[in-house]
Amino acid sequence: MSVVIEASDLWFKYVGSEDWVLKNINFRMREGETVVIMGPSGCGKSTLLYTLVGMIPHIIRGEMRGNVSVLGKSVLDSRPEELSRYIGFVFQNPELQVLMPTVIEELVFGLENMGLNREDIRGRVDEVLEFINFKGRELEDPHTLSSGEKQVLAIASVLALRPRILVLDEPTSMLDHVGTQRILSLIERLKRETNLSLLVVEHRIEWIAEHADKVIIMRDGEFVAEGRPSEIFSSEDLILKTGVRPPQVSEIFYSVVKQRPDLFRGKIPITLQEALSLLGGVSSSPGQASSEVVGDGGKPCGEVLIEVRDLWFRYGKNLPWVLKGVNLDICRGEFVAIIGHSGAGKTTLVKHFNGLLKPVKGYVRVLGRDTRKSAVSSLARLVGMVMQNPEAQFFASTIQEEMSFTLKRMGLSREEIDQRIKEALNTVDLAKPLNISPHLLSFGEKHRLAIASILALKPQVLVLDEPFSGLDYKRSLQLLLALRKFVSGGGTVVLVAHDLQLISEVADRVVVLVNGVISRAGPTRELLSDVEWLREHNFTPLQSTLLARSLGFSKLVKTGEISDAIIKTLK
Amino acid sequence: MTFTGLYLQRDSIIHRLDARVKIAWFLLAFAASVACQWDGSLSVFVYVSLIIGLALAKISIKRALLTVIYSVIFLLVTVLVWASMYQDVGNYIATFPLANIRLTDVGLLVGTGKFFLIVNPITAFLLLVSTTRMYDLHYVFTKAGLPYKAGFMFALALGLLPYTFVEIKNIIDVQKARGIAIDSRNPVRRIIYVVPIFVPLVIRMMSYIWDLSIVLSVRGFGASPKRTYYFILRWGLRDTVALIILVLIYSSLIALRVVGFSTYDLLRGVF
Repeated sequence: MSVVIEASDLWFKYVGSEDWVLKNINFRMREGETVVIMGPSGCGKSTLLYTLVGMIPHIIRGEMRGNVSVLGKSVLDSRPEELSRYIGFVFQNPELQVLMPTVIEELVFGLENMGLNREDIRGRVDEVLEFINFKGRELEDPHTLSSGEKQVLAIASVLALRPRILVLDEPTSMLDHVGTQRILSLIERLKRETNLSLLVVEHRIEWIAEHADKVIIMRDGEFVAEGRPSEIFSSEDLILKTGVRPPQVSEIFYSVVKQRPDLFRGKIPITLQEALSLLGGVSSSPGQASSEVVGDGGKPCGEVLIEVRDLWFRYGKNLPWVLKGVNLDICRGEFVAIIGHSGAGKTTLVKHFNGLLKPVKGYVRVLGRDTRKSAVSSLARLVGMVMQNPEAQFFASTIQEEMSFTLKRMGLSREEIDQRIKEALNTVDLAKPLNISPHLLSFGEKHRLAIASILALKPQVLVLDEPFSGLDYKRSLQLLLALRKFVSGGGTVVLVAHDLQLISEVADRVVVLVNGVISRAGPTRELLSDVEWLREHNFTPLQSTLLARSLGFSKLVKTGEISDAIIKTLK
Repeated sequence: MTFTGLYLQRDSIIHRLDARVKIAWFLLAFAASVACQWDGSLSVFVYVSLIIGLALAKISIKRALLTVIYSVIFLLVTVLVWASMYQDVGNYIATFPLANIRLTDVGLLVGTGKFFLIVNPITAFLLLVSTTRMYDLHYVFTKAGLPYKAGFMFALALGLLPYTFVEIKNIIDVQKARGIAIDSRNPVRRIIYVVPIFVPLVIRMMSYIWDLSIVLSVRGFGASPKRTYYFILRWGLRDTVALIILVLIYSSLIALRVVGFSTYDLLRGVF
């Protein structure tokens, strides 16, 4: 197999920055290979991809050392628009990549840029439409497609250019379960049916373990591990060193093997099938499954903070209902997760909690106050809300000013303001000088500052609406565990998210919205362990629950409790 | 955001017209407004023709009327400024009480003419971009010899308008959720609260445009010196008929103005 991408002694730092973002990268990718790059947010993954496709140094400026070549051409000598004939690039945000008013215009855009004639364009468009099963949908407006379909279209419009290498930068990180499944299946088909070389930045570990030919782990701009998935994930030491999340089955086995090194000859599985074949004879004894469960996560509701009754909402008189008769209580001291596919009405629902949206029918009461009769600015002191993009809120020149802006208007003393800022930053573990600009913070730190600036208002309820786009699992979990401090202090957290593993670690209760209706609500364990129900509603169950269920531990969800149950069974 | 610009999808006779006819319509309306700028009683017909065009395009006339409603203050100021310059010319009609300006018929004609000089091209532009796909406009500009990158900049600028409004709405929501009373009735506070909207908006837009430029480059924008077009325009009989009608209407208005005709004079003669 020939080499399609080669980087040697690659160093890069951005204009105005003292720190190297890429440090001595040496990388080779062969034709037809599927390489996955992993690493924490800000480790340099995207920068590396930008270098490989020629955006660095042609569009994104900085100091670059070393060599990068794509199909034998040096990126220094080829502009990215020229390289786009050979190397396709798909970004994480599908909204940003869908530019045209119809599906067909989207597909022809790149081909027209290449100067192809009409017949060639027609041939390629037909081929791509067929491949993504979009025949007959040419005149649809891409903006009416689901986020997963938009991402499929973004990939297709790059595929139409017939690249030999496809680079996908976290293509599923902004998608719901259905969209993610669709994209991952498409990538699997590309791997199976074409000879494309695939370079993917992705965090869906279980998928990577099954489909990647090679995994590269980056940290602080360097490659810290490189190898086949089985080599990487079967080594707990390596996983601990690199800080990435292993597949859940591997995590379960780390613990089992640590306690019983005599078992499985120390072999660590990386896929569910491997785990099941290793555990061939293991199954729970009658009654064991229920005895393994310590508490079901359900809490009695002491005080209702938010009361939603028969809530109906639509964005315009002639538009369809987004919420249809929602009834929900949010109680003091609970951590509630709201899940649902794109367009289910999650954001619309939580925007009612602080009065940003007012019910068309029914009512929402926050600590007894009807949101229809209360100003958002006063409700915001009871229900703080953090939305997806922290950049949409920062306007002051320092962290201190940013956080104190609202506090000053609340008439608080200087001492009180300083105290609140300190406490809020402590809760989210953000230790930065207060006199620096919020815009100088990393993406993860911006998220934490956005949450801290809301926590400083001392709300009774904190609502997080998909706050982790672009943040890796470890940092997201750290942040959520920090917020458990807020919950144990009497606060309440409502989290809108897609990641069931994160939810399984922190939430007491899960509410599922399907097409504007609460389809199910219940303790986290009960809901996440109901594999059939999740599948029926197009959610991807956790690998841990699939393993537990196969072994008969039907109510177990967390990896730790499953490994304990396995060890007990093997005794 | 897309390269849809301000285009509104409708099944109408105006939408079906060739983009070149609609560009000609815009230019003719502009030329007639320039020619009739000293006589509001003539240039009002340009405005009426455009409103008819919007109605035929099945576009809510509200959209066009909004242009006028939002410009009422502008209309008053324009008329008064020009009327004050022509206080001593023409027949006295009334005195504007607050500024003590003598309103004459000539002053009012010039004032309204100048008002339509601004409003007509805006309405004609609205008609053009609401009924013509950006793709077709881009195609025409490129065929006319304009560099295709310039045509895209135009489409991009138009596309940014609706995106900017969406972003402003999002930012307002985010800041309200932080307890900032953006909707305060206190005018001083409202001014102060422009900063928490404006600064994130500028940052978001810059970041958006940056991302967009990267997306365009990976889709090969600029890769070939000559860009091709998959969809081509086809000139039909209805386009020829429409163009003849438009040329007749607007050249008649221009000709009437050149020969010194005024609707006002005609009406004065009648009544």
